[in-house]
Amino acid sequence: MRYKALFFGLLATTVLAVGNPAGAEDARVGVLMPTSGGAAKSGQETLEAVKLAVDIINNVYDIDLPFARTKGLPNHGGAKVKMFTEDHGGRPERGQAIAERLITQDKVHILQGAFHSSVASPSSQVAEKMGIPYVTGTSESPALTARGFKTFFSVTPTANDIARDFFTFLKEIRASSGVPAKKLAIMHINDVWGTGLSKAATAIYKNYGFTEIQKIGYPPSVADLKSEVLQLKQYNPDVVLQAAFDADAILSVRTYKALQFEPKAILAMGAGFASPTFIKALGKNADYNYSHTKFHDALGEKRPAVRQVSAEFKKRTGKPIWDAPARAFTGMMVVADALNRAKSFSPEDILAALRATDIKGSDLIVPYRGVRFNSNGQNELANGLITQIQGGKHHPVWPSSIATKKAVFPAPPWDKR
Amino acid sequence: MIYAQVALDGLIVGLMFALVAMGLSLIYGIMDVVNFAHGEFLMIAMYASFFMWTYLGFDPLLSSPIIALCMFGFGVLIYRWLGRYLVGATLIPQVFATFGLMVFMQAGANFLWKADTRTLPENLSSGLFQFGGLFFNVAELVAAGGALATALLMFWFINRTETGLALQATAEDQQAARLLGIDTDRMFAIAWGLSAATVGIGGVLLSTFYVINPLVGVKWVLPAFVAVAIGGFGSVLGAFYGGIIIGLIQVGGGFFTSANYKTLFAYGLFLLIVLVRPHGLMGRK
Amino acid sequence: MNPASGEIRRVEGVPWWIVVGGLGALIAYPLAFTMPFHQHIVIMALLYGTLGTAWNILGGYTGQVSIGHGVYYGIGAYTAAYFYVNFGLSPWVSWPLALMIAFVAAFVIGLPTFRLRGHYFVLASVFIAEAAYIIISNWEMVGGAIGLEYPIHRAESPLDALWHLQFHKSKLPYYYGILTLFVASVFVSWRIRFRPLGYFLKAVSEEQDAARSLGVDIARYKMVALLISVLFTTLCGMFYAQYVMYVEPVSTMSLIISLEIAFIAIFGGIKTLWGPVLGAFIIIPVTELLRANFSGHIALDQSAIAEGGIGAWVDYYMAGGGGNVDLLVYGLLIIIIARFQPNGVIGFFHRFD
Repeated sequence: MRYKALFFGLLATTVLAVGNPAGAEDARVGVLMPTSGGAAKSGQETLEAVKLAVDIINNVYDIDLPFARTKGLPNHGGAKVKMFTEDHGGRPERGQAIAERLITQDKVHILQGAFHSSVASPSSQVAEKMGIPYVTGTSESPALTARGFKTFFSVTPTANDIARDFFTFLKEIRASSGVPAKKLAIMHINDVWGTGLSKAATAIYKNYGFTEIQKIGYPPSVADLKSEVLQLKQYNPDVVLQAAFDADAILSVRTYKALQFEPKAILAMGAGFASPTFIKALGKNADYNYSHTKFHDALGEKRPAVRQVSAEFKKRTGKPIWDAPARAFTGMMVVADALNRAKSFSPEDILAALRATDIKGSDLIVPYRGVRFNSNGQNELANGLITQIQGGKHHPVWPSSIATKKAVFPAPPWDKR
Repeated sequence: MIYAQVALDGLIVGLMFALVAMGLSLIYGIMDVVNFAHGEFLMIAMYASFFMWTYLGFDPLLSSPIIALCMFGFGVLIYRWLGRYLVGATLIPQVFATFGLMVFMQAGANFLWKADTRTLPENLSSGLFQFGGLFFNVAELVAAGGALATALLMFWFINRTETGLALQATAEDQQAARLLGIDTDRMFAIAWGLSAATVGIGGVLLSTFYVINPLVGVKWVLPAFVAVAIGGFGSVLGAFYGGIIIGLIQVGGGFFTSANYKTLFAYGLFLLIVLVRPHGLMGRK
Repeated sequence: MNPASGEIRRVEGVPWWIVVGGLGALIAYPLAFTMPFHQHIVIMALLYGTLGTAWNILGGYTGQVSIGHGVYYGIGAYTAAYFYVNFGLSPWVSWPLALMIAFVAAFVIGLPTFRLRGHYFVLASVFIAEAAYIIISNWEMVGGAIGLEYPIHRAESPLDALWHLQFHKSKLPYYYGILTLFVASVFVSWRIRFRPLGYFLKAVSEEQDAARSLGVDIARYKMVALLISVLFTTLCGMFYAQYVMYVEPVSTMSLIISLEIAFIAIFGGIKTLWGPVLGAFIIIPVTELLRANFSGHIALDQSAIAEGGIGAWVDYYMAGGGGNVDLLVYGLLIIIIARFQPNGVIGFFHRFD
């Protein structure tokens, strides 16, 4: 019978829920992130960035950002931002349930999330039904803002923007280097995010001088990438657009080297290629890969806040901040900005404040020109930058207003590196 | 020429699958239990290799015997703590218990070491070279060779040593083995230990060129299951051949059609074989 | 069981008045507990209870352990979603089609694989489910890896809402919908269990060769069990699609789903009527509460720990790491039960011979 007690004892720990009392005037924000499942690592770091943002808002920090040097939300007498969160693990039905719980039980005034576009979708549907504002800093699917929701706002550029940026860059670099590039390959992990890039690129590649395309997708669960790379080698493209997470990003580049696959350029949609783990794992072999990212230390030249926040993040997590956490951080700052300007914390007032959002680019740690939402709730000033890894570090190479180095195109063959 | 490369790479991947599959087959052969947490043993060995390198500076080739020994002990521990109760159990309790073990180990890895992907930087067995128009990755070659060597070692052990023969006897007929004075409980423990040790070596070898995170175990164990099923449950040799076949099919199939479908070929082959020979190629009746 | 002699009528060991009382409690529950989250937990428990009960008919009664039921669940979800999103056809219209597709799939899958014994059958079911998942992920017509999203339909009248099966003001219609399905499945399972069909299935499950020698048509009975099981599983899939309004391969057809379905039944206790029900009503609330507790309580500084309880304590001291504590506890629970009650939790209440 002892084990019966043990079983029920463990069961009991699950019910040790303690309530979440908050000051009546506090602003309550619900955050949905995946801290388990396939995207756990990115989700964990993104959540840490959001927590950092809340901390900066609530307390006094010597950082050049709005809300840093004050405690709480100044227009509301220093009311604090109180954060509620739960792990959705990448499951849409969980996102839906969590959103509901955050709204009805924790009585959040606004939601932020969700990293996975497949979770942002149903959870924002809940918000739309209940009239609660929803801001995403991280979910890139264009379909989200195409829905025309009244409560949904996206701060981040979408996969369409990323594809467009890539092609614009390629057109420029083709012209300036005189090197032709007509064959395109898309190597992507076959999930919602990766397929999004593939779709976006397929729609517009012809407009930018590419004549052939081959799409190579792989399921998230594969152990090796040999067939994929062998296919790439056989097809012999000029340019590869890639969407991969940490593990497959590292594996693919290692396999590229092993099989001496050397296209003129590999452009990756952030994530695996932009994360610090990539360079750490590959060393020299990471060089010459491009990433579309929304964070770079070079931005710190003109915006000191970039480096200040970066240092804080490192202090807390021991890791440098990068693309996804930076965008989530920005998402929370946009939320705080709207909450601050809102006349009250009622949904209508917050929505009105969100629609009127007009944040200057200099107040952000990401390279957006600012934050202003169009009628679909999409930030029309969102843009990213393209970096190339040279000498083991990311250097912005596009757009020219931020570029610190010239892109090396085409990439030198493996034996000449 | 690229076809030869496909074959080579398929063989290398296949040998890794074979190594993972053999351990699975061992436990089944001896006590009719399928260990669904097998992939997590692989994952733990990979982390062990990573930590030995990071904190002690041991090259994986050096640490593999140490880790193999530790994994053996770990396997015995799991047997004593959980596996023992699965002797003679039907399918359901097996699935139940080993599934729980899998969830626990994965969550444990996530908890202790976070979800980050880690790798071993260039080490003793790194390097690339070309020969005869084919590309070779030294680390992968060494791993494949190591897998082969371990397989041979295992066969030698099972067929030429007293303990090995006792294991076979227990696998064939537990009652008879007991009558002959064989301590079947000890045999089971050894089987679990050996299974963990072989997959542990696989993990160390993999760590020289692969990535390490809490979810890698699942990636490698599913094809291994196909391999064991094709080779036939109960036959370690069958699992070995099965692994190689799976490797070739996966790389080849994925290359000639679409990479998205590459795992389908392994599954399709399994279904084909099993419909004709319900006990796999070399399985026990 | 003769009431006249004073003995209480029981439904598999449970007195009839508890069964009726339980049903009454389920009916009254959402009226008493009006928080959407609380209703959601029971809706999911009912959903998985139905799935587990349906699975059990094949897995428990007939002994064919399938870890590939996700295929049928996905067929239900995708059929409902596809016809609604593209043609505006509500599930009231598309359900026969969904069932037809599912039955065809069941034939195609069941006929060849029923010949396989034990572990081979399990693996065959796994691989077929994985194959279906990969095929769907690459099928443009149903959205590939991205899936299908429902447009929000704001109903003009309750009848309109009922036709579209989208209810936004309240969860009650969803709740009672799944409750009906649940009761139906348990009822069917009960009738099978203690009737000739059930005995045949049991014979097939335990002594296949003996049954065959007695002239029992094994294949036919296995197929019957499979079809009944598939019927409810597919309908559950359709429910899911209407409830979440977003269908994609991972949440409807992946190995994870197949594992969850089988596991609910296994955890609760297969071969029994109430096992899967018990399994669902323990696992679903426990995992939801574990997750809400451990991942949902974060602490930005030490003072917040008191508020956040255990979860916050873990979060603060393991800053950034310590994720997945809920899964850790979950795994531990499973191992302990498996070790001491390998026949499922029902073993606590039921003696097995």
